[in-house]
Amino acid sequence: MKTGVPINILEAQMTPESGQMIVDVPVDNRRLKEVVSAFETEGVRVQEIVSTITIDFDKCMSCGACVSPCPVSAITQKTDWDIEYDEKKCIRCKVCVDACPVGAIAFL
Amino acid sequence: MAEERGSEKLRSYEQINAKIKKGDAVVMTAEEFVEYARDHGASVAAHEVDVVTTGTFGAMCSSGAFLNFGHSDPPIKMAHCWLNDVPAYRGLAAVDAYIGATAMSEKEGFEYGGGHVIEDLVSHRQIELRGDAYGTDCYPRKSIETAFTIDDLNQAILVNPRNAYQHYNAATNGTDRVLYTYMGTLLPKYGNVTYSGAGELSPLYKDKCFETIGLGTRIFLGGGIGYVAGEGTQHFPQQQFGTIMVRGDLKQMTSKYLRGATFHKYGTTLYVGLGIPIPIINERVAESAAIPDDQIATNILDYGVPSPSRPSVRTASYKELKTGKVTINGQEVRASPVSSFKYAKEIAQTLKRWIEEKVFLLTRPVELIADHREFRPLRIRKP
Repeated sequence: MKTGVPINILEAQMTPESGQMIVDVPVDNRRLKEVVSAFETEGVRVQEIVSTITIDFDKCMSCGACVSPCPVSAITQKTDWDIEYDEKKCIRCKVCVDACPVGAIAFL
Repeated sequence: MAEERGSEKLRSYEQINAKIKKGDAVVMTAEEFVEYARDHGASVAAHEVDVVTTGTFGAMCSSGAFLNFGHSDPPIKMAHCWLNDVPAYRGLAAVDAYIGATAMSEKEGFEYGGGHVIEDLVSHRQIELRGDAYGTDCYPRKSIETAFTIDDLNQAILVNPRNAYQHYNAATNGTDRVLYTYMGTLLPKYGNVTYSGAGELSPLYKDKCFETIGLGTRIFLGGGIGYVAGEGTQHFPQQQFGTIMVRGDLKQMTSKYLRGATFHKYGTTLYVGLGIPIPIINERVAESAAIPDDQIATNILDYGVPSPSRPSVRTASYKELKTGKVTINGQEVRASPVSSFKYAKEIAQTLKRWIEEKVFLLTRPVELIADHREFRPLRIRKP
């Protein structure tokens, strides 16, 4: 609210003693620093998630089970049915990791 | 009078095989034949093309393998046995076992099951065998623990009771929670659609009336050669839910086309690669082989309803599903397959190549698959 930047809460775990959440902040670096600073001023520890998903194409069968469950279409199928991953779109929800029947997708 | 099912009016199996041996056979994959028939007409295509090859690669839960381990010294008649902690059926003599795709590890649960054991076997990996027995005078041994590979077995025979569905339903989810099913992950409120089946490459759809497929039909199975062993369980051809039972020697198959798999929170299964050559023996078979994706429709069922009679949200053709989007209640919804079209095409191409290289001859079935069957539910009755 301080910065006026709308954030998307992807995951949240709250207890009476503490809480943590994963948020998506869809802004450029300058405004991102504002948002991080606003959280830190309130005593929230902020850590940037740099992990991403990886696809083992030796295991991948190009079945497509990972494609439609991806809520942001970061995983798609090309015209030859091979799987393509766009890291920029990925929100790290990890739905694809469980959706792959042969464990070809990992979150590192 | 309607032509008898399976009549060889255009060409016989002997004529086709003679052409194959000479290198003269005209062979197309089903995709190529669909296009050729569209451009030249099904009748012209019927006269010019001898064989149409098909392929499918999807999760086929009703799959498994019979294994014979040979006899130990002293011998054992196993009462129970486990392969990499996955229970295998042992109610067969002393050392025969059946490992089913959906049996799951007693230690690793959903992560490893019979399908994975089969993939490991075909990959020549070592498998741990554990067995117990009540012991008899002729089979005194009461327990066994050993390791083996597929090369140690007397027989490893893939026998799959229900494979290669003619076509299959698509799936969506009208509830407000995520569902985990054998059709993959289904997001709430019709968040996505998944579908299965090879469409215009589907072996059993390309011989819709079952004029060429039956007991003894030679096929591509798991990367090697297999045979149709008759109709599959739940065979229901009147609504294009035909199935086949298949068998083949696991020792000549490859793990590329036999993949152990897990559907999250559903269980383990086996992805099976299967392809059937369709001899164009009459014009009716040609018309069936020429059916394109836009004429193969399926129902998008709401898997949020836990019943064998799930409601259909709408119908869609495989052509529409393959665009990656369908419309439900006015909203565009992402759609993706859970079976691999890439591998289905490869299988059809491989079968075409085997025929062109004269290493694969067609077989006339001993008995055609039935074109009519009742499909019954399991009723709950007091015994």
